[in-house]
Amino acid sequence: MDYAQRILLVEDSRDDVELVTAALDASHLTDRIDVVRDGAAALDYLECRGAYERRTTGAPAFVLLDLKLPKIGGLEVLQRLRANPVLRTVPVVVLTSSREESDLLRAYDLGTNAYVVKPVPFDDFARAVREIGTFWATLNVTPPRRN
Amino acid sequence: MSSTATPFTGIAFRQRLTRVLIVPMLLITAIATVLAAVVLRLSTLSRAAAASERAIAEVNLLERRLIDAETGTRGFLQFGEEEFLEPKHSADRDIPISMEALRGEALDAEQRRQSDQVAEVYARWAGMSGAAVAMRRAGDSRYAALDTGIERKHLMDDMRRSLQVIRDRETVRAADRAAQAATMTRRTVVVTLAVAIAVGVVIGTFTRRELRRLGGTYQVTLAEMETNTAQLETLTASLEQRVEERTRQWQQANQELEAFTYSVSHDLRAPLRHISGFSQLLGEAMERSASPQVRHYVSRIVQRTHEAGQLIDDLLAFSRTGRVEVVRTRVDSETLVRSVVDSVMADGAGRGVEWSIGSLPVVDADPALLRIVFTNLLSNALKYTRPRAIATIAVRATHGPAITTFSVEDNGVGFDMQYGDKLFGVFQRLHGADEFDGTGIGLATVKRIVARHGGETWAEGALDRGATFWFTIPATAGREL
Repeated sequence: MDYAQRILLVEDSRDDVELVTAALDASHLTDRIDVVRDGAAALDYLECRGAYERRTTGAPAFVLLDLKLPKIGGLEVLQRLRANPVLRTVPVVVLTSSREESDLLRAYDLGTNAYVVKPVPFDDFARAVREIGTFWATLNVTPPRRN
Repeated sequence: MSSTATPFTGIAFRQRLTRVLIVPMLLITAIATVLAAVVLRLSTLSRAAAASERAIAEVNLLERRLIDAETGTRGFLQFGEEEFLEPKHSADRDIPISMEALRGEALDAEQRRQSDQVAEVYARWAGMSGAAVAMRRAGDSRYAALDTGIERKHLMDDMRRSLQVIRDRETVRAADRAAQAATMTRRTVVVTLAVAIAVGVVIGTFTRRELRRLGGTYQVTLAEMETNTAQLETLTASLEQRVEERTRQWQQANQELEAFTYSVSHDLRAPLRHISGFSQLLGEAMERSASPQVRHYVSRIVQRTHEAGQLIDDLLAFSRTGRVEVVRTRVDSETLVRSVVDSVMADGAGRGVEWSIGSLPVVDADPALLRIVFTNLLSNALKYTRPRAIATIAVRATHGPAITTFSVEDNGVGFDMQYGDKLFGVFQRLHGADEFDGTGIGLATVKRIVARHGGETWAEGALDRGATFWFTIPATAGREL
């Protein structure tokens, strides 16, 4: 691919968006981040509809997906993503506050690639986000997809 | 309620039962009385028969004595020998006695008249014979004139006739009495038999009727009891339903409380993370420009938010242990404990710790929850042995068919047994937060998990002399809380 794939951050909290961005700053991934604030926007982005009809950046390198989202929840976004023949191989990393077993099980059942609970100490949080970014945006390889 | 009907039925029941017993008893007593009266009468009759025999004997004796007297008199008058008078003398002596004896007997009016007549005739005969004897003895020949013989014979015949009348009448009376006794005996037998049969029939009928009534009462009582039982069953069912409902309400309330705890903890977690993040970023941004004091403040904020985050994570874990389903499988506790030791030692690296892991059994428990138990207990042991140059921590188990008891013993700072019961409460701490970090939720979590396995948790310790924590896992599936 001749251009760096985007990173889609699905996060309703401005604070978290800012902290994720700050954490990724050191990895020089910040300018590749696209942010959507709810589940419906995430699906529009991924399926290039509505406000994202003219998006030409292709499928993101991976999706950082919160679970508690306005309009459409994270788990439903994941489900619809996996049901889409084009997008089903897009890596998804759930990044959430929820350690609930039911959420964990459901997320894995629906085919998440990873599940990370946001740590409270910022050092831990920043390290986690950086490692996720480095791994999924630079090391991980996904199959080519038809657009 | 029909409970008031039960004592009433009881009285009626007793009355009927008494009647069933009393009526036959009264009838039997009546028969016995009649029989006793008959026996008395028969004995009277038998005494009367004896009297008749005696009377007849008296008559016979008197007659013989009269004959003796006459025979003696006649002999003396004929031969003049005193010797012939011997029978007459004794007869003269005995005849009044005999007459007296005869009069002493129970005689009827005719017999009495006849006996009076005998006495009177005897007096004449005695006078006549006495005079004749005196004349014969004096040689007075007129005795022959006096001794008509014929006249004395007539008197004698009169007396014997009277005696015969008395005897005959007595014989007839005795025969009457015997016939009477025979008739009475016969009648008594017949009547007794008849009455006994009648009593039998009456008792039978009466008993049958009373028993039937009793049966009726019993049926009624039975029906009442059945009604009562049915009511009781309904009551029990409604009670059970209420208990079930209350339990459901209680469970719901409990779930709501858990959900609230979870929700509050969860919602508090996000702002804390943000405070932690931004204060950290602030500190980094000020790295060079800010004074050491400002940097100190920022680091304190970061540190405290870290602790608050830990507290919330522990609370969430505690809440989760109350809500998750306990799935018990066979767990090799020794492998699990060794793995927990490795993970807690990652934080205690560089410390001198002597671990002593005994031979631990395979138990029936939820592996994820059991791991939380050991993680809490072992990290506690590690934490409270920090002042020791060499910490010794021992994990042991006694394994029985019904229950397994685990113990975790350390040589740490221990605790005052006085506060032992506070150890397992949420937020209960026996040491200052500055002394040992921690949130006071670990042991509460341990206790809850153990309880959900149906086991118990307890501890022993002494200040500065270590502590031992025990918990049990029953082998059979314990009741889920």
